[in-house]
Amino acid sequence: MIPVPRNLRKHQVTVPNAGEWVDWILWDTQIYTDNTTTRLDFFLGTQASIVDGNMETGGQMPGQKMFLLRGIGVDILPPLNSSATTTPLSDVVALIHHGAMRLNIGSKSYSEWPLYLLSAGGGLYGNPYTAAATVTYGSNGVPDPRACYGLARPLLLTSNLNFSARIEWAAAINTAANCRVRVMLKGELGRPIQ
Amino acid sequence: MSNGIPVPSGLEGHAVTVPNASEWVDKVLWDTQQYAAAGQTFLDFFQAIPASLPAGNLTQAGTIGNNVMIIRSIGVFIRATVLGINVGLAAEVISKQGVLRITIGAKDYGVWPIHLLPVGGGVAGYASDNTGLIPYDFSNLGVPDPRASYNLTRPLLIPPNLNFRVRLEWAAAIAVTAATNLTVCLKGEMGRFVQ
Repeated sequence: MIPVPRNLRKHQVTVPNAGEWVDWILWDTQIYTDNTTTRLDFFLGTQASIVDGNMETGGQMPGQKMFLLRGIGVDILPPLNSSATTTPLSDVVALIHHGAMRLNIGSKSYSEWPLYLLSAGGGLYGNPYTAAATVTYGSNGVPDPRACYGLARPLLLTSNLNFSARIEWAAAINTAANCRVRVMLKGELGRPIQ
Repeated sequence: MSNGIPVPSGLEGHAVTVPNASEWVDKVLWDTQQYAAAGQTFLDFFQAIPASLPAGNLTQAGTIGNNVMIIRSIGVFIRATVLGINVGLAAEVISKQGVLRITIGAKDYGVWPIHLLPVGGGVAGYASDNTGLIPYDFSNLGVPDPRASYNLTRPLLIPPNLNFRVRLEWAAAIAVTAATNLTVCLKGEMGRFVQ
């Protein structure tokens, strides 16, 4: 803590000794390359688009912010800005059935899970049909916010502490196209009051 | 003192764990074995270190090493070895004609029909095909929802370095269309030393 001279304290942009907690999801998206990828790392960098991720700082919560992690979800998404509106069911099944995710905080592993246990808690629900072609789609788990994997023991990510998630597949998987893989960390954000 | 062995006072500063400190974390232990197309009468799980993380995460064969695990839920996941090939029918046969037995130390701690043990996850999807053919075959044991898990009315605590085993058993070897991968998931919490 760097001491702030008394006469400068009135210029503070945050309320002294006051914090707030708000509902928050941290997410990051990486590309699975057809027949090539065997592992993907998440949350190590920032994304150009909010659609792909909302990390402010690569690999950690920025100064004075904390994140209480209560649940984890993973899903497979269609290519960004593509006319392919759904990811083929076969790709979702292949990637979800054969992958596992490990969460690292600091220099320790804080557990690992098969991807099929990490339900996304959302997705498409309906009956799309076209007479011209086959239509398939899938999501990881029932598309219901209640269908979320909640940690038996929540984890507090303090500011400036490194963390990342890694998904591994035993071998590269033949998918119909490159897919976007999204990891979502669900919980609450603690931050200074402004 | 570490595991009953005195540590000279000059070496205590080199300990790789925090003395007298432990932590509990969310934990799923899982292991995968293959049900042969010709059938199996039993398959044992958690008896060997898996080749890759997607196949399993046991780090010491048959035990959880120096850690403690409390099992709150048991689930079985069934998936095809060849994606999209007849896994639905195989899952029906395997789950409704078999049982799961868990042994801790030398004692039996429960037997359940496999079809009562949904894993609480999997893919939810839909397929329509203008050709009238079924384009893709997949299924999950149970609804793919974490709430759809079989929770033990009495959780089981596996102490350090005690053997445990899960066995799936069938009365006879039942042939299925293709070899099928079976994964047993033990869900709960793990206690470990703080590092």
